[in-house]
Amino acid sequence: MRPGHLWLVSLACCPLAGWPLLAHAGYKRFSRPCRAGLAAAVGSVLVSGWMTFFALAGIAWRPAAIVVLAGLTAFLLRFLPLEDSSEPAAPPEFPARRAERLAPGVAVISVIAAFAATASAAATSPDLLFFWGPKAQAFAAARTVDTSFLREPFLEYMHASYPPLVTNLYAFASIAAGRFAWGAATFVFPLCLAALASALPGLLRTATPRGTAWAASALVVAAFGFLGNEVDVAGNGEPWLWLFETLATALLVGGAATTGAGQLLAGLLLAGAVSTKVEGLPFAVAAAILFLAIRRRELRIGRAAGFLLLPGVVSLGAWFAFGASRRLFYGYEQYGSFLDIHWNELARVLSSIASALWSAGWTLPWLLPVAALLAAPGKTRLAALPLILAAVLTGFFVFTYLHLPDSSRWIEWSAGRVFSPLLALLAIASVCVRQQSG
Amino acid sequence: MRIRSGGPQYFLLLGGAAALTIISIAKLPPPAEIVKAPSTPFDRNPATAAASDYRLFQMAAAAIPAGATVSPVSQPRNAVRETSLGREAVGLLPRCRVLPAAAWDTATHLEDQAKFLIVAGPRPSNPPGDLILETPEGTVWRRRRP
Repeated sequence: MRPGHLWLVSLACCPLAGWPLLAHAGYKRFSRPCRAGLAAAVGSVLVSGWMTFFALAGIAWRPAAIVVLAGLTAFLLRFLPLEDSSEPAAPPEFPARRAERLAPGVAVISVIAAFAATASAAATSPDLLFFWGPKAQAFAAARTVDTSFLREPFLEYMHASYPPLVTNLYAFASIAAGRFAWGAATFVFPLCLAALASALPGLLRTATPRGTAWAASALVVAAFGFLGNEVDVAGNGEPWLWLFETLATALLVGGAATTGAGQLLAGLLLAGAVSTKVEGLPFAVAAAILFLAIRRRELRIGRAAGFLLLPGVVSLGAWFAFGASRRLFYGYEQYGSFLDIHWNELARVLSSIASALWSAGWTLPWLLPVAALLAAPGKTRLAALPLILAAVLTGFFVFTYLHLPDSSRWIEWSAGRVFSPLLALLAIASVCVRQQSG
Repeated sequence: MRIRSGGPQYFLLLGGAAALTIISIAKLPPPAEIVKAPSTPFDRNPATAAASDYRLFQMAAAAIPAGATVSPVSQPRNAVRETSLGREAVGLLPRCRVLPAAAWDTATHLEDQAKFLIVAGPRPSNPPGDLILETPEGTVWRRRRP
């Protein structure tokens, strides 16, 4: 088998590692494809988490040991109080009508189009070459997070403190394949999209009627597939972030989120978000707080908070403990002083963001979910969760951009990517409606 | 409860998904080009130099011995371009020690200490050493006195 193929095939260890948890009875309400997609996401978090723990403990990475430990962790998590007597029954299903069946077809075609765009090298992110790839390659060679590499003065742009999930998983695949495979790494984009297309309809189905769930999923997948090619995300962190943030949000507005099983799953997905990119941290904190506030009457608050927050605290805590123990970093790097904000740049930042979003497909990937949201009849208070999350992320990005005296160029090449998760939040908000009969 | 899958919201969700999918497909290269593997992962990248740099560094990686010090420079010299070249070289020459000729768009002059020079662009009029590789994208030189 060629190294590139082996590189990709090795990532199949992620769903295998996550499956012992998703096979638990608490997740039987979800279809098998849905659980397979969720297992891929959860397994990625567990594999990466164990790689961080190995690095912290000074143990060299061995893929087989890491996969076994990740699978064992997924199995042991089954013994947590996941089942809930108040768990609502799965909604009754009727045979799908022809119009409904169109939605999964559209999602599948979108994923195939994303594969084709990636295969033709049309969606490759320059950051793969500048940032993600070199780090993963160096870590694979060292079989740990290579502190001497991160300390190199001319490699400061690699951001030593950046969350480890993407570089961990790429290093994992590189060790398995014997080298870093640049072309193979780009295929993570359509693979994450396929996992999302597999899991999202089942999660949204617990929040909304099947036809709407399938159509909303199709829009999210199609929009990410389109945008991934437009703003070049293949090989970088965005596809992972889409997977974790979209699935976590869909779970939190659905029926499963009131159960221990649903909360643990959401917590693991939020841990994935915080371990993927810096903006995953404000997202996860805001998501947990909003969930506990909006759905407090349906929850046992202490248990829900524990399930939601502990996986992220453990994941990020291990990473920061690694940085501190090696005297490499003690938190995230900042762009200047935290409160040194160029407020006079606000108008230019906002107009640059609007321009960047316009150039990413005439803003269609965001406008279509907004239109669906406005057209949705009888929105429930659960719609506030994704909408406030979108507002929090927007505020975070604008706040970050305001730290440079002129961030126009930075916005030009990054805004389309960093604002991309918002489209899924808007689409999920649009399905938070009172369910109708008839 | 009966499923309801009609109305403007459903049309916008599904119609929007279909529209974006159609645009995605329309933007794809011709099928023959998709089936044919690209020479680099950056062949269709908007940054036009990315693919040629990738090819140059891949060829150079095979010609430069492991552990050697190497510095990528541009012809003509340009600190902005050499900053990019230095970053690309870190990823594509993992067995070498890369000494960037520029960082943060400012010249470092570290190329003076490198055993090998990779010159992106036309062959320099004043040879910086012994030519060990020439490709359409650039040349690789072994310096006589690092």
